[in-house]
Amino acid sequence: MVYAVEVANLVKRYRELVALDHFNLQIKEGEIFGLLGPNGSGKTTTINCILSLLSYDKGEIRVFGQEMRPDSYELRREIGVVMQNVAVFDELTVEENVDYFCGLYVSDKALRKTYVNEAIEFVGLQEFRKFRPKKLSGGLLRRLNIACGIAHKPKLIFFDEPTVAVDPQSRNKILEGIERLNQEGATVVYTSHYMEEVEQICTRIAIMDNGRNVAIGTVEELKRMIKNTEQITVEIIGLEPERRAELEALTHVYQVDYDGKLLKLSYAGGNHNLEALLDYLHGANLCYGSVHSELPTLNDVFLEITGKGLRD
Amino acid sequence: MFFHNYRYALQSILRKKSSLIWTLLFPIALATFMYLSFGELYETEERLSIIPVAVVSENEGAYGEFDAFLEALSAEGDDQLLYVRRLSRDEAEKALADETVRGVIIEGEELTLWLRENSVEGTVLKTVLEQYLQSEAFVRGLAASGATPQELLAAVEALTGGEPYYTETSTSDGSQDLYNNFFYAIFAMSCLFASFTAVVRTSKLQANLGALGMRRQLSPAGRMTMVGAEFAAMLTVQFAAELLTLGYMLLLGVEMGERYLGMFAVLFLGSCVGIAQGIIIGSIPRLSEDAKTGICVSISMLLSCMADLVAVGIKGLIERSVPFLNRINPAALLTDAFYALNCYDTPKRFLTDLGLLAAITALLLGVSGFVLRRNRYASL
Repeated sequence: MVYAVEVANLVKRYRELVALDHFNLQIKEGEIFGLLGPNGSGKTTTINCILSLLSYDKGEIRVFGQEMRPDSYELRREIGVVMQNVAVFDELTVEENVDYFCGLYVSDKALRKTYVNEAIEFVGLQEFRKFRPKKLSGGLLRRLNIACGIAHKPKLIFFDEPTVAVDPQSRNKILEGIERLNQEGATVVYTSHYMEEVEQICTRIAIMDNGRNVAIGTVEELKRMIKNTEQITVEIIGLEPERRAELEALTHVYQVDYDGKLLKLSYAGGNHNLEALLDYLHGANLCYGSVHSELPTLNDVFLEITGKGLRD
Repeated sequence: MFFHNYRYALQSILRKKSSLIWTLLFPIALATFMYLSFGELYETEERLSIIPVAVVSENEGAYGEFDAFLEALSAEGDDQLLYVRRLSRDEAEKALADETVRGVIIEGEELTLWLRENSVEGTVLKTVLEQYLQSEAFVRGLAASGATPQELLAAVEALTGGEPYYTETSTSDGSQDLYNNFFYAIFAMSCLFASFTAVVRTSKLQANLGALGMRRQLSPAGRMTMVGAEFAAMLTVQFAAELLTLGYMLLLGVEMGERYLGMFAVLFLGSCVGIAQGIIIGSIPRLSEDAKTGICVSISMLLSCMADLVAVGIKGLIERSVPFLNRINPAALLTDAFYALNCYDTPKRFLTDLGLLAAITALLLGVSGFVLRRNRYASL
């Protein structure tokens, strides 16, 4: 099988620091692949190595089955990159910026004109064609950044935290756009610190930590990798200490927390945990207020896999 | 691909106000400033061609030869030196006080010159009078030594209106005006200051200096194509700015000589070397754009200083002690090329300067290309 991106045994060192430690990754064509990890985990280093911007000590990188090298000009034509930092010329207008970057990939003028128009419409900047970047708001600037990265219709697009410092409306528009690009055939590699975004659009996710790939799979597959399957929170006042042992004895409960107001029960497995808990509360004649059940999110998965300690 | 990059680089440079200030406004402002400073000197030189002078005759008939000498110097024509007014002593004093005449010559017991104050015109009048007195003494001596009347006549003829003993001939058809060195300095400095724009533009090509460089490096466009297009765009703007500055100076009335082709060659190579200097500084790895700009300003100022563009005397000192430095200093080569173009009739020195400028440009661009061709970084 030919993968859009295939990384094998990649090792990258910054002097004594091992940024990528025999890292492996396979991204299938047509996927929206999420690359997650705490700061310093090696996400950006991985992308820069794949793009041949960074040298590496060991390993192999292939894009669409071909070895990726600094002079792989034909492969570069198929790749688009939307970086975290906006990369446009302040002196050129929106239209000129998109045309300039598109022109680095597409030399046919007529085709380029069509591509530029489509890219500008795609990000909804039609009304701002003649504006220079300094006149654009943060959200519009991000959209221009995306237009510059995707105007040449690449088959593989890297999005490196494209929604940082963007308002919810613009963020929604950007995420919809990424899904559309994917529907039109592009393979997308997406990095972000916003777990809900990744959960919303990514078909598969890899979680990196300390330069290694610590978990990979669909959102559901990742959720199944962690112990917690459900958390039920009950508003209850004056719970007697001896009740804790009874609660811990309930089926699938592995952790009980109580702060005098809220009772939190963490479950590892089970399908009818809420029903069993309510039966217990009624049976014990305990008065309670609101009750709600939460299934684990990607954020829970992320924190459980990478730990809760602060990173740089 | 080259023209696509060239077109947008050109647009980008032309819309960047700060680079246009250094490229165009700086030399024009400096030329205006210098012209205003030296304009009075230019006018003084023009006034020197005809100096109004009053002559007071108090000893009728005693100065026939001197009157003939004055008549020759005040004869109308391109080489008229004096405008002579015959006045009484009182009228002459008043005219001198009113500055309607620059000096008063009294034909009394002896020839006397009155000047109101030290001035260039006064010095000229003094010289004229001394020259006459020396010539008169010469003729008298000639007569005393028994010269024939024909020989005496020939001597007087030569002194009063005949062919001069010598003629001043220029070795070149260029301009040898002393003040032009200052205007050449403007060209040299503005050429070196082209490096500021080049540093900024080169930084925008490097992935380790910003997202824009990264995005450009990720494209399939060849590195050297991009560098070449950037160089061509900067050269277009810089050379056009130099030509505009030259046109502006000519409009002001600055005498620049007539060797325009040679001047265009100097300005072209000067622009090349300035941009190449900026590109090589811009291509230094692991330095921020600000640090590079700082280095660029320092080097440009140092080279300018060494070439007498800031203060006079250093270039001569270097020429006497370490002449090699003047051969590798673009600023010194530029001013020397202008000087050689206008003051030498043979092109050897001028062409040597141009050759050295071209060689320095090629060397700087070659090294920059070698550094910039690298496509993978150890860190970003």
